[in-house]
Amino acid sequence: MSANPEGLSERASKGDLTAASELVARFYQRIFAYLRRLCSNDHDAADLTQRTFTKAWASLASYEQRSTFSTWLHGIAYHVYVDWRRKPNRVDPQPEEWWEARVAQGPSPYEDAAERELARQLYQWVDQLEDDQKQAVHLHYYQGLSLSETAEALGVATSTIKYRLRGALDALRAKAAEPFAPETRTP
Amino acid sequence: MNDSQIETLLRKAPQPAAPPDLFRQLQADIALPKSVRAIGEHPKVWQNPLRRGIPALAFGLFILSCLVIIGMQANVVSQLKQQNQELRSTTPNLEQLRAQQASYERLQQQVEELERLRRDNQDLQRLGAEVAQLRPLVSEVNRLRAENQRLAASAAAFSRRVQGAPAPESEADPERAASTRCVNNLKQIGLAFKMYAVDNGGLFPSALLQITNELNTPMILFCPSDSAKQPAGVIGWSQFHPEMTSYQLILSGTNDEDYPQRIISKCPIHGHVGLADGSVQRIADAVRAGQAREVMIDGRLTLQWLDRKQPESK
Repeated sequence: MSANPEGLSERASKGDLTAASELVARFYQRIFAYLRRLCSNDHDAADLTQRTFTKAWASLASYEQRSTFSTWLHGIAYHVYVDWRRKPNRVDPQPEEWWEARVAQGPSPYEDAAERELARQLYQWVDQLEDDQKQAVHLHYYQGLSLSETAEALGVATSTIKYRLRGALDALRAKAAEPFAPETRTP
Repeated sequence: MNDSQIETLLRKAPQPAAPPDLFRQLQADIALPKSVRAIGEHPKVWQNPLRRGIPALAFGLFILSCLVIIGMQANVVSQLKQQNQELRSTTPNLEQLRAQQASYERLQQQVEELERLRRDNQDLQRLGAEVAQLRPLVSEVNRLRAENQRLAASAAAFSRRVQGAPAPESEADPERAASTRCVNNLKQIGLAFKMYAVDNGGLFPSALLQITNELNTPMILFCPSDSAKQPAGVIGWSQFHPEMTSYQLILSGTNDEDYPQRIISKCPIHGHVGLADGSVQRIADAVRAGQAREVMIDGRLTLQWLDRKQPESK
């Protein structure tokens, strides 16, 4: 499977189901992870992932490969999430235990327990950022998109992304500098 | 914590694993639309090749019309330039023409003024001729008028002679009649002085307005021959001022019982004088003949006869 995503998308646009299946296999984990960090449960994240791909297939003809397929797909996922958030009673905070469990699970990339605790708190603080800053952090740091890809996915200028990330980092650094920062665990 | 540590930790964010059956569901949901499959497979519909060329044709027509308009404008501009050059070539003579025009207008004004003077002169000459024609007529009219007066006087004299009445003085000699009325005026003034003196312990009046009760009317104070001071009509004392009188009145306020020849009034026109005794003397001819003179006696202006032969007093 050496074909790049753009080539696969071209084949899928011509009706190649195999290529479409290959695209799903390559990206569904990343899209699910992106949406799961934004939603409060697996079910909603899976549902949004399905909507994202359904929309991608419907709009495949309009994909002109001016950006990477990954960027284009993240952009669709972002808009699907925004549409979902607009519906009433959709502002569910991420349970704190979820981040704690995620940090504790699997092979730890953290150097020690202190860093793990710091990372857990950091991810919770990210959830408390403003929406614009939070989306920039999710796409750039969590999803690994470049600055220009993040800007493309969110439909803003690269300079705007830089500004939002700078604001997010300042806010997170200020949170970390607070002595005896109160725990924001939800009961 | 610095920015790089924060960024490192953010990049280490955990990747939540998707549910195991999600991939299968997504594969099952792949629904590529037919329109996508059919891209590039549409049968070509015949199109008129001219349709494709219409935009280019329209653009070409637009450019062509623009070129035509530009050409017309360039032609107009060149014509205007040519006219401008012609006008510029005539400009050096402009000042000279302007000066000539000014001198021409000035000359025209002078000609008009001359014409007007000529017409005035003609009118003047015509009027002069008419005056020369009328002058003999005027002298003839004067002559006829004098003749008429003479005839009227002779007719009146004739009628009086027929009726046996003497001619009135005013008709025979108006100046003599005026002199007589002047004498009468001075007489009444002298009488008023005397009446005032009787009422005031023998003292004559010191102001003219003191004898308004003794004089019936101020008209007495005007000499009939004094046409300069003669009022337009009959006036009363309310309209009279002492300086209006024709006569020279000597208002001494003294008792002149012992000086009957003292002059109290005088007519500067006829030369008649009124004396303190109430008489009036016609002394003009006598003064000229050196028979009488006015002298000051005890501070009083007095009439003195030199040959002791007084004319009759009035």
